[in-house]
Amino acid sequence: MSKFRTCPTTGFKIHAPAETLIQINAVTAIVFLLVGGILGLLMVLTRWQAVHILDAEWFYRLLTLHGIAMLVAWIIFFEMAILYFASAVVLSSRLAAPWAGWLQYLLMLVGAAIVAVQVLLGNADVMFTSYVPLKASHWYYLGIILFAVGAIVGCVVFFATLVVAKHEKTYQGSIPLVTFGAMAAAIIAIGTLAHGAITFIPTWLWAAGLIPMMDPEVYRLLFWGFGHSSQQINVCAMVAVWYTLGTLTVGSKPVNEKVSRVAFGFYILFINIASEHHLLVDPGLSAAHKSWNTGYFMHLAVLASMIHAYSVPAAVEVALRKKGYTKGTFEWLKKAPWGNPGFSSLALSLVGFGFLGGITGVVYGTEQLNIIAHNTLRIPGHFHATVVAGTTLAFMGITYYVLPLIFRREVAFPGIAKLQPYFFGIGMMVFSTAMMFAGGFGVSRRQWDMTGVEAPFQVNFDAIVDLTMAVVGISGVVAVLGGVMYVLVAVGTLLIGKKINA
Amino acid sequence: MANDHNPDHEAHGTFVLIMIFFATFLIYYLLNWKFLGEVWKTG
Amino acid sequence: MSVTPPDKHWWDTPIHTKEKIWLMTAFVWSIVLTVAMPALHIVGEQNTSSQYSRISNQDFDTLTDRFIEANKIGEEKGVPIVEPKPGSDVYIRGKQFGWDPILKLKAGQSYKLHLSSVDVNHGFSVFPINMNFQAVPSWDNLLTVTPTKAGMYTIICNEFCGIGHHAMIGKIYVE
Repeated sequence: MSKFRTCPTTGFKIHAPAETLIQINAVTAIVFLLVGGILGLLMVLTRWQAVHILDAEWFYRLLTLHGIAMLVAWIIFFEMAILYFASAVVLSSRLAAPWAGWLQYLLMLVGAAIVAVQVLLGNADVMFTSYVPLKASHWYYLGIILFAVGAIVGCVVFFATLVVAKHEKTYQGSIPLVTFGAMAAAIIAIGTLAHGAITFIPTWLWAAGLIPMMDPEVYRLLFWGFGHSSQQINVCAMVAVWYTLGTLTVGSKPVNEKVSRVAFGFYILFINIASEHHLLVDPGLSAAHKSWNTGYFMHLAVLASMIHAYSVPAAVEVALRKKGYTKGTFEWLKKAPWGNPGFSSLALSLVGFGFLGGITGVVYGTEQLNIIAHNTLRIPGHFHATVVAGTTLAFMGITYYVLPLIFRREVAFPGIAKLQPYFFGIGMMVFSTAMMFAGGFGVSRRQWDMTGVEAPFQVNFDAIVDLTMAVVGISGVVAVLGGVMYVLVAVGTLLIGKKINA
Repeated sequence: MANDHNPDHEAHGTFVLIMIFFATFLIYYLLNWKFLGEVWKTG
Repeated sequence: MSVTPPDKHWWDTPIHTKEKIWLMTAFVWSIVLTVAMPALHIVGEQNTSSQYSRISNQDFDTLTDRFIEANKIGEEKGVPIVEPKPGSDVYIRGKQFGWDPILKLKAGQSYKLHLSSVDVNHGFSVFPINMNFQAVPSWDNLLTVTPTKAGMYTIICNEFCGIGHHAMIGKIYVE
């Protein structure tokens, strides 16, 4: 049993290969976050018309790469670390087949590298969505496929570890809520990646000249079976992290395990049919079909998020009241550990995801309302609230615990760490809100210039729109600064953080 | 006796917060239907 | 704790009253959100369209050319201006990197607007009213539209369609 150590803080028995794989996936994720963040900075400084730093070609090229680096590489590498943590570490089990974990890592790394090189060479100016008939080099699609296969391997290792832990009786009773949430994420991931395969394998063969092109509308349907469901993996992983952060920061206990678990079940059952809310103003689907499908089968997946929106803060409130902060309605909130970056990340992530991302997601995804939202800046505004202010900030928050628990080093630059979630979270919330506001005036997404400078006709936006785009620019810079602070703390901890002996 | 006063479950603050959330949701949703009503008729 | 196995009786733990109230509220709200969509098809005037058909890019090209020929009244910056009869079939063609023709429509009159692309996906966004529809090659996205207010409108392409994407701006006049 020499391959195990016992964590002095949590009492978990940690399997050495699991620990290494968590470390390597998390570090790789952070590198991609840094790359994606620099690209993000270039994006905001271009869309902010007064600055307009990149030329058109490089704007579109790097926008493609920004999407891939963030939404694919950063998020999924980090999720692999979460899957290994939620299985092997939380259940004090050995990781099933560590070699397969390395296979996951290598496939994802090689896939991401191929994609990045192809985009930078100018062989894939197709955006994250790569809607056919836009065509990239066949290497680009191969890179995506390799990455996805790697992620599937990671999910299989996760499930196998659950089986090993059950079989070897490393825990008593049911699996913890966090593991349950991660399991929901992994189940959705398998379905999602299957969609990815049926989208990208034919597209790859088409780009290689072997088969005819898929119908453009069929591609859009299949792509979103992958593209949107993969966001639900992020939601599940983020909610699991929320529960974990509640426990780690204030010692909270889920108020009702049954309710929280049923909510995760709703995600698994109902989110897969939601992909069509990207096709609400498309030809090819009837209105009846659209309203049925985008209703997420009676909005039960939305209901799931609304359930967590109560149960996560309620657990925190109960825990803080038990510590004696019982005066009035909000003493617990005032006396909460706002100086702990884990806690402030949790709180800001809840607000960003729920108030900004969640509400706007339901509104823009409503069949008729999509007419005034589709492909405007309202859409990236929405998903920067969910995936960035929500998921990314939650992942940043958990990092402040992963560093001492898994990397066994004290967090370096605690002063910067304390402020980091505020810069990132508030910057991102203002950024998203401003984007959605501008989008309401008809400002388009994915557009290098919005005035029509190279077009036969000009577009004259209200002065308020120019002002809003300046707010997008400034708040975007603030958020990137928050991201840089995060990378600085994480890398600083790895290099000069004081070692914790265990 | 309602279990509201059970210290294991006291979450009055969260209840207030979630109602603020619900009100925000309602307002934004209705506001968007109003905006939609202002565009060209289509179907 | 969320990172430790739950109590043995986790399935039987009663739900706290306030949480129950929220669960019921959220569930009822979900039903409202669901029912609103079909309901607005009955009482609302802005709905998504169920009229679509497959069409080859060549056929759409030909139909648009014929439409322009029959209704052309002028030109602006090399783009033909057409004035179709109210109630008639109207074509708008998306093509890297422009929309044609320029339409001249009458407020309060309805038109059958055929929207498609002859190369890659384009986004049809009417500025400043902010209405958005997708133009997909090999699909005729047919919308029945009634412009409500006179004025000059621009069509912004809001689906990335290539490096010249931002130059793809068209026009509609409503009088």
